[in-house]
Amino acid sequence: MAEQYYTVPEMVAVETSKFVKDGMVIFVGIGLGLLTASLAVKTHAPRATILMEGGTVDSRFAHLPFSVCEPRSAYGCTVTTGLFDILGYNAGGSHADMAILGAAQVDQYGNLNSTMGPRQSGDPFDILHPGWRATGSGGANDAASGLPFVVNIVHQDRRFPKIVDYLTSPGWMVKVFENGNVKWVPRREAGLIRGGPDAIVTTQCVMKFDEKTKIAFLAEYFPGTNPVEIKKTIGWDIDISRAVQSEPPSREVIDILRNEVDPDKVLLGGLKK
Amino acid sequence: MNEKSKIMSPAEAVKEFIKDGQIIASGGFTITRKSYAIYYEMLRQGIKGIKLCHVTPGGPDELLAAGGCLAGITGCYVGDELVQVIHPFCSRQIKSGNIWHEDYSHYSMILRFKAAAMGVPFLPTHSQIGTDLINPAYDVEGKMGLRGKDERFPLAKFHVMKDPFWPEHQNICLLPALSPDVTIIHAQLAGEKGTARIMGALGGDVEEAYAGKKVILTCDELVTEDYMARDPNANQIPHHIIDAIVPVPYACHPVSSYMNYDYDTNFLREFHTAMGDDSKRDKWLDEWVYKIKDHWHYLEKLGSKRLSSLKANPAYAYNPDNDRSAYMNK
Repeated sequence: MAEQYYTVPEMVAVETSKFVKDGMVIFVGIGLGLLTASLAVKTHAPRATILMEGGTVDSRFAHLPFSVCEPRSAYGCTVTTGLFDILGYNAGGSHADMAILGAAQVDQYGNLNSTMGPRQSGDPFDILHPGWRATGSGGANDAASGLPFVVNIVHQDRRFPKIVDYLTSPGWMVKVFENGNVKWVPRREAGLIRGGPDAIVTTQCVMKFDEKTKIAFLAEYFPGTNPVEIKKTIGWDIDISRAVQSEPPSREVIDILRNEVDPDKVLLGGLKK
Repeated sequence: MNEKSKIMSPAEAVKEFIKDGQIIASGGFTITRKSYAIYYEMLRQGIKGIKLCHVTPGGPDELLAAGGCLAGITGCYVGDELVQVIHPFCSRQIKSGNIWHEDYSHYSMILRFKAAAMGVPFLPTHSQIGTDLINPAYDVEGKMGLRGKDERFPLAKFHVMKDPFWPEHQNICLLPALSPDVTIIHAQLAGEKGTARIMGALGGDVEEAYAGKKVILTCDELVTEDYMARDPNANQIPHHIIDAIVPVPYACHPVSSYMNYDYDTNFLREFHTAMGDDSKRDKWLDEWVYKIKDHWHYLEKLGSKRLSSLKANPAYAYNPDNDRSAYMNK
């Protein structure tokens, strides 16, 4: 393999930023979403508008924030308001075009789990004693309920079950609860009249959703990975027949990412343990 | 008219307004505008059985859990974003069942406060539809026996109904009002009667304040109401809903107050590390909470050098030279 001039998080940021088109209004969560949107604004989408749930519109970061509501996240913004306006009017009222979200698990229909689960994936669990806990869904449920969205997730087997252990953000097929039974229905039928997942960008590949089945298929695999190996890590019988290898990012875009978007390595260095 | 002054110290505010077993809403947003001066004091006064509810959490959850003040949390998140991806102590307590956690979406929480603020019993949303956030099997407050027993808790976590007005919407999720016994918020500026001016993003503070039966407001600067009246557009919270005004410098240390001071990353790193480490936690609490007399003693221990290094630069509203290396893998 030729010498790789970019890192995995950089590849994820570049691949995810391709979903941001110029002029879009984007809701971003903390982490890679924020990095990705900032990259898009500094490259191909200078007129994109970033929304953050603390209550800021169109921020132009001078320093990457540690939080979606810290002083750095408001730098250069044109409106400061509150969470109600961002999640209620903009995400819920559909005055935004897309969201970039993180998750602990994602399933075949693009349902996310950001919060908890049993010790062994697939087992039932007691809500008063969850086997594992992550941070929680924050505004990801609200954004996913009203907007098209792209998911960023670390590529590890346990993160791709056929059905998420605890569903926090709705994908294409969702749960309806009737008389003690759980029924799976299309999101539209459940009452979610807008939005839905467009893609899952992992640290190895990009998955998109089949028009008919709404099940995620392998669309792209990153240089250095291969579809057969990726399939082994996915909890559903993923279609890899349409997969193509991703174009490596240009050196120019990597330079912008390193020197202009995140020179302090807030996100590109990986979180400090 | 001779009104009783609302201005008091953190210790007086806790003593007067905070009681065991209360539902408390914590304003601010993870590492911004969290009134640590009040939460430290709650530990010192040995408050027990608190049910925290908030639009957005932060380190005080971890602090109150570690101080044994906390019974449960109703919210959407247990972390401090990039500063502490997940609160180690709190999440361990949730897993072991020592602290219960009722799960709602972020917007759902603000709707619950807004409903209480408006005096209506519930508000509708598309949020949570189709997910386990409205799975009847996962009703934590119900499992804890709070429904129908403690009148501060609603009879159900949510209610899904057919939209009676617009057929295209199908199902809609109704969320019950939530009125905390006490709401604790922070503003950069407060008038002497309590008019509050929050600078930077507002998070959920306005809704939480209006929803609270009592409201404690910490502030960076106390000014006359006449001064607040010079720019009424900049003020969000009226004085008549504020019960206590606590004007202390660096009330939110170790977190930030937009335009006035930045967060203290080295302090936060030590705090969170200690909270996750059984051998360090009590020592940290002793050093920074129990052996501290009051907020002035806390500031004295931090020292003028450390505090001035956090001072915000008005061109940025934070300190662009703040040492954030504790969280960077350079």
